[in-house]
Amino acid sequence: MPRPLPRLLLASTALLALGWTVYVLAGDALAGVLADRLRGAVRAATDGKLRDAAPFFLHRLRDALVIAAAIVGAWALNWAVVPRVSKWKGAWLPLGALFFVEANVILAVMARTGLFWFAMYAGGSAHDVSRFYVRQAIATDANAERLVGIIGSSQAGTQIDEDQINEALGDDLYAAQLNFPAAKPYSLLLLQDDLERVRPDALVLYLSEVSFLRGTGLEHLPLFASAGALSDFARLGGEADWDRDRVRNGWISAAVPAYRLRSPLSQRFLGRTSVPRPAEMNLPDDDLPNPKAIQDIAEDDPIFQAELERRARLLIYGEPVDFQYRALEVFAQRADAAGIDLYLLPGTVHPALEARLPEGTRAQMLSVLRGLGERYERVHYVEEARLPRLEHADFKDPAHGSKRGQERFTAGLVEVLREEILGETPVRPDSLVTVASVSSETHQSDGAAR
Amino acid sequence: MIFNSLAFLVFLPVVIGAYYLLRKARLQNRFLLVASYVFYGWWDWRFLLLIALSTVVDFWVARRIDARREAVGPDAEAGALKKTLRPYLWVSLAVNLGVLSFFKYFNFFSGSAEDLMLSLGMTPDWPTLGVILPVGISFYTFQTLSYTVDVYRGTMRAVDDFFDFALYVSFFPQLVAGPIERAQTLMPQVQQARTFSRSQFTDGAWLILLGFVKKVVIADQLGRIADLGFQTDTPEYGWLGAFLFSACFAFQVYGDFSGYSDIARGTAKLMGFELMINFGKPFLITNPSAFWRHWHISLSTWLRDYLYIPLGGSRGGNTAAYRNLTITMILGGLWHGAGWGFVLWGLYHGVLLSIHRYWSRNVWAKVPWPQGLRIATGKEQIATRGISNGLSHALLVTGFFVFFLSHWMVFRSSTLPEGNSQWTYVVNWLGEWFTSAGIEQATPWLPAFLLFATLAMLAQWKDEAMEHFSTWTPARQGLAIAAALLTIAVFGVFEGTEFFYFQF
Repeated sequence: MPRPLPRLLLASTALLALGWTVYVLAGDALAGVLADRLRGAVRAATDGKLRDAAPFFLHRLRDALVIAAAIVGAWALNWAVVPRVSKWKGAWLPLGALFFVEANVILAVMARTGLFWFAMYAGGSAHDVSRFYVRQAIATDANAERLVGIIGSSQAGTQIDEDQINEALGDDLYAAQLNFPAAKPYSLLLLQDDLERVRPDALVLYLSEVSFLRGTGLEHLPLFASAGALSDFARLGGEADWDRDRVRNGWISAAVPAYRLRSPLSQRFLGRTSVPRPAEMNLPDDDLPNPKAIQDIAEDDPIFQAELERRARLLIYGEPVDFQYRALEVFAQRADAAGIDLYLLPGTVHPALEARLPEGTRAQMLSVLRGLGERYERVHYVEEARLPRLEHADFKDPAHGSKRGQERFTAGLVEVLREEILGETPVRPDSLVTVASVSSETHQSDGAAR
Repeated sequence: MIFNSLAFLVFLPVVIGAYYLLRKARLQNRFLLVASYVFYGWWDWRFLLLIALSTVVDFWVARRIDARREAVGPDAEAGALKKTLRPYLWVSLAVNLGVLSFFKYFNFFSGSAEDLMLSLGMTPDWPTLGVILPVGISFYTFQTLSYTVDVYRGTMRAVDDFFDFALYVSFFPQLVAGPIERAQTLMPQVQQARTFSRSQFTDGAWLILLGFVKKVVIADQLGRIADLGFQTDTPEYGWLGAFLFSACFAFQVYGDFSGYSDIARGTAKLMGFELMINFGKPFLITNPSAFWRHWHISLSTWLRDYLYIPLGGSRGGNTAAYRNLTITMILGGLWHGAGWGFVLWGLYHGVLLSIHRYWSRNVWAKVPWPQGLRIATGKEQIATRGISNGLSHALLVTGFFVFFLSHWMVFRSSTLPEGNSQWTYVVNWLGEWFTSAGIEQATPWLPAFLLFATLAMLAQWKDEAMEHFSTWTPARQGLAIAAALLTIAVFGVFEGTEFFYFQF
């Protein structure tokens, strides 16, 4: 005779079914009511990024139901399986495996929800992964007519201000920062699945010399690994930079969600300082935040000069450069195939750092970007003359933009987006016209020199 | 090869599989001997020569002692018999302690002599040797010595089979960091056929997993915090840091060493061997005497049986007992390492144990304390009945833990790299208890400390249940396995950090 379902499980299942019914039939209305009451709080919590709070509540309701479904599903499975398996000899082994797999499946399901990442967000000390997924969730919640994702490394974060773009073009498109610190083209391949889930209409990819020099970007494997990304690595010829520990970590994190989530979980529950050291997740030490000592100081200051030298030494020119170019091509190819417009934005490092890089580095990068724009219909190369040329005051350190630099660069980008995506004639602010004309001359003379 | 390495994760299943394929005890023993030598030789094959030397000498000495005893006959007068046997014992002591002294104490003695001569205005001129300490030498030396002493005392017979004895000396699960097994308990297990026991195998697998949690989660996570706190001998972290960083170190050593012991015992169980329990509830006790009944039990009982009692124990009255305690603990300190810091550490324990002995017999016992407090004194019995008893015990446990942090600081200062001042280190740490300046340096570490220290306390509180995993319900077993694996996956440190006690 079959065993009856325990009452608690039965009640939970009924409650879950009721929840889904409410979500399907009255989810929008419920979210609308909540949004009316809590609009201000949501807006404040997201720094004004969400103007309409209804999608936020609707999506969180769905997240909660998805997580609850995973938990109730695991519970029901245990109800069916555990009594039978318990009769086996050595039942501890299959049961241990079952519970471990279930916990990981639940974690994997949770990690696909914005609710989980909002819970992981710990303000200023949140882990980069948590920030990335929170930004992703907000981008989805924005319910924009035209969603433009801004991607790249931390440089993209310090040189492009999404709020400034949204203020200027907010009625017509919504820009969302989806950059990831230290990202290189291969890292973008790792992030591709996550980026596609946001379903952007266009992606603005900020690239500078830093994106191509210095290694393969394999350090992000443990955070975003997938079987596809691992096979990409071999296919693209990354063996020269093969790192057994990183690849092993990558495989483990691809198979065990708990391992993949260890850094954000540790950071959330134990605090920033208790996260595994960079060596463990194989993040290079030099990608850690720059010492404040080098910020906002004169260009000829010995400390700044020393930092320039250190950075230049780190940017090694070699085989990984070609690897990154190949990875970028694959990324462009896939974006093109997915019907996403990809705008390749040539970014820049501090002029003094650029001068220290191997000769021809920038020219080669620009030529590759231009080539991609020519080969793929949906890939658009943005000529660097259309963007402001940044100078010392625009940088807070040799690679990252200052507030002033961010404002200037974003202003230039706004005009590019207005023209490229909205098809409008660019309205150039006075400051940009001046800068753009100066920088255009500079670029021309630079080009001639090259 | 260390337990928390990829090499061991491959080595263990291969050895276990082959071990059970062989079936016959004799073949299994030979195979385990080879596996043990491979395990140890993984560090440096040259160290195998030392183990082999110790094995050959003690095997021969014990055989000679047995032969002489038989030759003299059972009716021989005890004094005369001992006189006949003693030269053989001296051979064993000379060889074992000679090798140990050379490898472990040469640098210490030559350095101390050099310092002494320099302080007397003389310039020493002798060659210096870069002697490397072979891993685990203190452990297997004590193990073989106990065998020879037991045979000398007549409490056991010498072993006939050389290879069985060699396996006893080099049995890989406990070779490098104990437990220090007595021949009287391990040798019979080597000599007789082991039968596969499902429950023993299950308990073993669980102990290994538990040991890994203790090592890669508790010890290695808290070790990082402790390292940060004590990277300078002029700290400025206030009373909170003084507590937090030293407590982190205490839990680190517990997690590290008891984790190693669990993995060792678990591995042995997989093959049908039972090794002694090396750790009880060292942070749930209320006095220094109880601490040594719960901490590194195989060493403390060794010191008691082969040092303290032969010295006279408490047979000569209180003064003799205090003296013997102090000598035993100083030598116990020197067993841990060659350095004045360890001598100080041993002296500290000797004095503390003596004070406790005096206090519990002459002061505490005569005061009409409430029952709860009385229960918590002297004996390791934990008050479980009644709220007042439980509260009294919890207060005493906490108080003793905080007081005993000084022990951990002296211990840590003993392992400082050369050039650091141990005295400055300890004195500055004590000074931090009386200041609030800089306590914000310690606050970011509190969540991690609380989580991992709670895990360490849970492991001690439930230590008996942990020993009998096979008696749990299957669902509870499965949950425990999954929880342990998840804890390792999320919080484990996978840098292959060596076990703390390897340096001893």
